[in-house]
Amino acid sequence: MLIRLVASRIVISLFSLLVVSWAIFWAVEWLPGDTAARVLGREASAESVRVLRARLHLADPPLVRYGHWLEHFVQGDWGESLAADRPVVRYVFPRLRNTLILAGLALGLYLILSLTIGVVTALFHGQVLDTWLSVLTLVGMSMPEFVVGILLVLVFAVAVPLFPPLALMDQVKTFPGLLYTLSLPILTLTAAMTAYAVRMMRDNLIEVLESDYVQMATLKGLPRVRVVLRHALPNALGPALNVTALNIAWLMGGVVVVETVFNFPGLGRLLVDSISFHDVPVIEAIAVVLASVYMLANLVADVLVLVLNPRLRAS
Amino acid sequence: MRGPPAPVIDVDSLIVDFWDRRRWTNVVHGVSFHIFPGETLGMAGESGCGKSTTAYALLGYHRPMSRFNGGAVRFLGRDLLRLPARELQKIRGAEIGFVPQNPATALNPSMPVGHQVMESLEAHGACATRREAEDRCLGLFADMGLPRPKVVAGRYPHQLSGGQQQRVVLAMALACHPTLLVLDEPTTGLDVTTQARILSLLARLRARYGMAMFYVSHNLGVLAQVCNRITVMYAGELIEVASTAELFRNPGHPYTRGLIASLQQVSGFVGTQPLLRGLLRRDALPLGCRFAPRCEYSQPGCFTSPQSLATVGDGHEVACWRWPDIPAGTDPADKGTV
Amino acid sequence: MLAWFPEWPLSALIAGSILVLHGVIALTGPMWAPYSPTKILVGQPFASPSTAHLLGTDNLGRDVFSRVVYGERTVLTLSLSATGLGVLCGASLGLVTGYARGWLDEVVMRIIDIMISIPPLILALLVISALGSSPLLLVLTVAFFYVPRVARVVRAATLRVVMEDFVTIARARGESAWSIAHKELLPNVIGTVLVEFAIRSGYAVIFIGSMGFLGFGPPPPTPEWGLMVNQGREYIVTAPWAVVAPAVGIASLVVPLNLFTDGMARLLGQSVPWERH
Repeated sequence: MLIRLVASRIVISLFSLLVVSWAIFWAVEWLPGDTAARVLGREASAESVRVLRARLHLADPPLVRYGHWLEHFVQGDWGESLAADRPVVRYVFPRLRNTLILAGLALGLYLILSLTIGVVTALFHGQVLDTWLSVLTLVGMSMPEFVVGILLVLVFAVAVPLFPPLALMDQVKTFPGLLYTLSLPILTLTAAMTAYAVRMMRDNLIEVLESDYVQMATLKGLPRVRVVLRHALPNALGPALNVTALNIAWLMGGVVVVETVFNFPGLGRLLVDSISFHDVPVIEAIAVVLASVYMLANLVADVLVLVLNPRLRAS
Repeated sequence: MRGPPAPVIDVDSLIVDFWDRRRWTNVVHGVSFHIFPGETLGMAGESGCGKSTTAYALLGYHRPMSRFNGGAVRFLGRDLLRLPARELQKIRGAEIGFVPQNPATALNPSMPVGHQVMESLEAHGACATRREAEDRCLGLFADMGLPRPKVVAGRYPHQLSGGQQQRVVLAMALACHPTLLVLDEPTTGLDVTTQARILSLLARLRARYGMAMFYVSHNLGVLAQVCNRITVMYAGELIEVASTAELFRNPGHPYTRGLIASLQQVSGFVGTQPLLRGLLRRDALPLGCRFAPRCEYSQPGCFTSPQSLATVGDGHEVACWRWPDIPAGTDPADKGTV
Repeated sequence: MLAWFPEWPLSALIAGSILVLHGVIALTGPMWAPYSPTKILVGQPFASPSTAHLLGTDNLGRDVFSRVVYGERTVLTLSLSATGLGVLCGASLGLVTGYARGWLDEVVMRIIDIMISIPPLILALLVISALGSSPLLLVLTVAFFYVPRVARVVRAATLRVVMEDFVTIARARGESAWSIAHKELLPNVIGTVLVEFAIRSGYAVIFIGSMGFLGFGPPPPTPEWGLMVNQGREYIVTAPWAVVAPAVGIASLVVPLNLFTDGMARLLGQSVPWERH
């Protein structure tokens, strides 16, 4: 039962990934107009357009081109960057590493913050602290990342110069140096994710804390701490883990904006830059990578919901 | 003749309020009763009358968004409403056991049931080692008539039937040999056969463990099977207290009569007592007798003068000033003629 | 509807009034804004806020206050039309599939599963980079992302209603599908649709603002808040007001919108689908 459900989710995700890769390819290469002409701009000579058309195999029928592209992509051959004349793989991977560092650190901070704040707000449910935190999380969820980022720069880099306004990776040598350089982007990414998770956790925990089995645990004479940690938290964690997986999915869009705010040399900014250069192979590669992580995280979220449901797990 | 023994628990003018959107609403209104050692006291009343709230108060507990607003609940001399949380923890589950209304939701869905029983034993220091706790848990399961205790202990709640879940919860409540067992509609969710089995199990357990019991139910028939004495609650107030035999032989309050009549009708016996009409509506309670709007015998005076329990016989109390005027079997058509 | 008024939480009432203010600015702003939003050098570049320029001027000497006021209309028009379109199509799809059930429902739900698994920002970037950025395209893209998400929620709500007895009774009475949908279904699903619209308007403001910030929204010199933040970023030390004003503009729109949605959802007994897309 459970295995079948999980398997069907995986199959749907794989199929979706195929559809998305096709959509990406289509969006970049099949749209009206000649890709080569679009890449090179209006002033390009006929000769250079012809060269580029040959290089992109634009003479082939679209489906054949997609097939070729997919075949090479799966084998790790992501083509040559048009702007840098380098293999896309070599171009993309250092950026991917940077993005993963940033996202990883933000996730770490997010996990610590959301777990503590979520539990605290639920425990103080109905009191002044809870009301304020509740409004605060709503504000956090309502602020676009670029607004949060810019305001953080304004306060902590311009008004009170505590942290660097731009996250430039070249000078980073040590781990503390890394944290210092990335502090503002990490905070920006964490803010929205945490607000979102705290709200979900709080709502869940409150529901669970009012459940019959938590009341029963209290009436059994268990200490409050044990009631919350052993009976309430495990049952509220399932949805919270689900939110975390969705947050990771969201990060794939969030990094694009936040990397732009802080000029951070990551995948998201490379995508934005490549779009302005019309660097087709790079755009395709990054879009597929980001979409894969996004869909993988969504898949994990779905599977977690299934696996953490004790009814399904035991049968 | 010796005086009566000291009661196990003594509830004195208990008042409980609930937070209802923007103000406190009174739910339990000055309820007093006591339970003697080894005695089973029943509490009858329809849903929403405050009987579960009273049951919780016996453990010094009130639900979220509610509060104790007066009175005392003295358990062996200690007032549970004024006890610090740490002291309460020691009493709950050890000296007072609780059996909830719906065992399916009262068991933690993500913890094997054996674990949930052992946890209770460990929290109260009833067992020196884990091994001992495990043995006691399996022993309890056997006592409760659960087949293959070892298998059941490793199961999650949803893998058990309703009757099995109720037996597990009973084991949990009895784990530390409590002096008092509070049962909140323990058989409501079960089918009739399972209900009968649980009731006979309860009778055996009482004989064996000798604890006092407080049994809440909307079903007078069930209470008649297990209780020595019965209290009847209406809209947060006690309206009648009597021994089980006396209550059925000689019910005083029109509401009690209605309850008994409904019971007889359900069992196919057509009596002469009027049935209950209407539903308990807390938003439309009169100043006087709270039952007056639904009462077949009410007079204008009923709506304005509050009623309180008055002794009418040996251990029989009724909160109705008109009760002597209503001989058993009176036809409600006589309404108005005193 | 007005009878609910005393039931609304204070925070939602305050939020509601702020939203009304935003609406009034969007409608009447161009009538009383002191300067043209695109005219350069109406004052010294980088002039700090003064009586002549309430929120100062930007690097090109444009009046920031006027740009923010005009931007209100841009933001509201784009996000409300995108949300309206998306919710309208999504809700209709959800109603139809939830009501019809059967194979149609199955097929549509599978397609919806796939559509939801597409990362919105990335695909929007690709589409707009390929077709060029135009406001209409932006609106259509956002609406496209909302259709499957709204459809899923409305379908679930429809299923809940359809399972209830009164629809079965209406069917037994021989009422037509149209009249059932009109008389029984719609009034019961309308709460869900309202909450969907409210919450997604907020997401749309964020999404469209982010696209503007990345340079894929309405082209300069359109007074669009996201774009203004991005352009002001370079001069954040000399003219912080040119960045703060539009940033606060967005925040003061989305925060009350979500507070209001939260209050409204609670009143309607709905849960809010916080999902940020």
